[in-house]
Amino acid sequence: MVIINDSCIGCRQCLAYCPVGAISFSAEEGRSKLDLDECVECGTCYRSEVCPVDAIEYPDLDYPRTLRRHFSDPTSRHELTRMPGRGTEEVKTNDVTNRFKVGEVGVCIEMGRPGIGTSIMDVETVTKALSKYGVTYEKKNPLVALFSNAEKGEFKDEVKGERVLSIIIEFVVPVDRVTEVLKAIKKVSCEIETVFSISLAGMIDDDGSIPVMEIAEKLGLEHKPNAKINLGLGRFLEA
Amino acid sequence: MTHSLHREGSVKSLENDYVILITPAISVNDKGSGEKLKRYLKILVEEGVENIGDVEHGSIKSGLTIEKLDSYLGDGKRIRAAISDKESLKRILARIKEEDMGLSITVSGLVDNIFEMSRELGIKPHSINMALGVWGKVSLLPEERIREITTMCGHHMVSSSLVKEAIKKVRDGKMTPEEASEKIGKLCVCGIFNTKRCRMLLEQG
Repeated sequence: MVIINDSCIGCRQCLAYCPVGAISFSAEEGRSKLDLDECVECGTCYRSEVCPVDAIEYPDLDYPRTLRRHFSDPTSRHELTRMPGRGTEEVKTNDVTNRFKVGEVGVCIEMGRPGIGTSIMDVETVTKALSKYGVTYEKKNPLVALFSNAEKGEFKDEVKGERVLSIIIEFVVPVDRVTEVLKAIKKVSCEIETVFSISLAGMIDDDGSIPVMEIAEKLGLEHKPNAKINLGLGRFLEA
Repeated sequence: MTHSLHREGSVKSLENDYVILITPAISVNDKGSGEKLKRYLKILVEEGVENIGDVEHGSIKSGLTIEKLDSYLGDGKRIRAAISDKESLKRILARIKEEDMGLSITVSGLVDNIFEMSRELGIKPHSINMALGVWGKVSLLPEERIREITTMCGHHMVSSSLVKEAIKKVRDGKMTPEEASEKIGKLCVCGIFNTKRCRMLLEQG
């Protein structure tokens, strides 16, 4: 994003809108200042139309800064998935895609959520920790385009200096490996400078029992009372 | 994406906060989905939604009209909506089941309530994405009452600073809870921010 110095009148109205607190007020210069290292290019300041003199602009960006926009601005379209947003269809269409099968657990680690943001370096800290467990990342997730070596959880050098609002590490593990993977995630969560929201995805049994909930409870992990539930009303298109 | 999953709050606070996602699966049933989506939209509007939109064009809280949204719906598009009471959700699901159009329907909200409603309607839930909370450097997080509002915008376009400012303005009588919730809700680009719940939370101070 850009705040045009000559146009800004220093009214400070934009300050509260930035989700990552990248806009501050310079008393010395009498205007708002944007910290480009912290700005994740989400576009909120621009879309809010809060600036009374249109001093906020939504510029074209060059790679790798474009990654900030793709992972932060839901109105932008990922080059990899050609879809808006940071994730995939995951559980949303599982009733017709069968992505999470019986005996498998989907794990979603949304780095930087809620509202803190993350460096790509912190994301790499987690993916490197996961590399010991041979996880296979969801290939439709835009995260995979950043890897230089997915097996080792390493990212391309040019992307490591970027920051984004959030990025989802998404993979499937067999039920019998989920305990060790979750323990590893818990351990690495103490080694990062941000937060992540974590979730488990899986099938619901015919009798209505929820295996992923039982796994979490067995491990003594708190789960929230709310969840995202695929109601099983989808079906294949008739030929 | 997990943008409707990580809404925070107590069971009481979440009692009337649901998100419905209607998603054609690419290369599975997206062909011809545009006309179906228009029918789903009609059901949602007739039975009552708090917010609705699509990420490419915004929400009814940011100026999108239902007519415009309808005109944008085509094959492979998606509908997202926030519903602020259980009875509306139940009526919507009953009609969706009855019309049996075959697109995937996901509801985010209290698990017990969704399961109970499903039983009553003869719906058999297929799969689940279940939140385990926030891990990592949680000292960076704003307090929970702020997150109850910010997490209703799953893409996190709502800053904690703006919510704090709104709480103060409401407390000081400079803004009504309704004005504040509409102002905040405008920032959610996909239409899942529940402005009614936001207003209720702001009324609590």
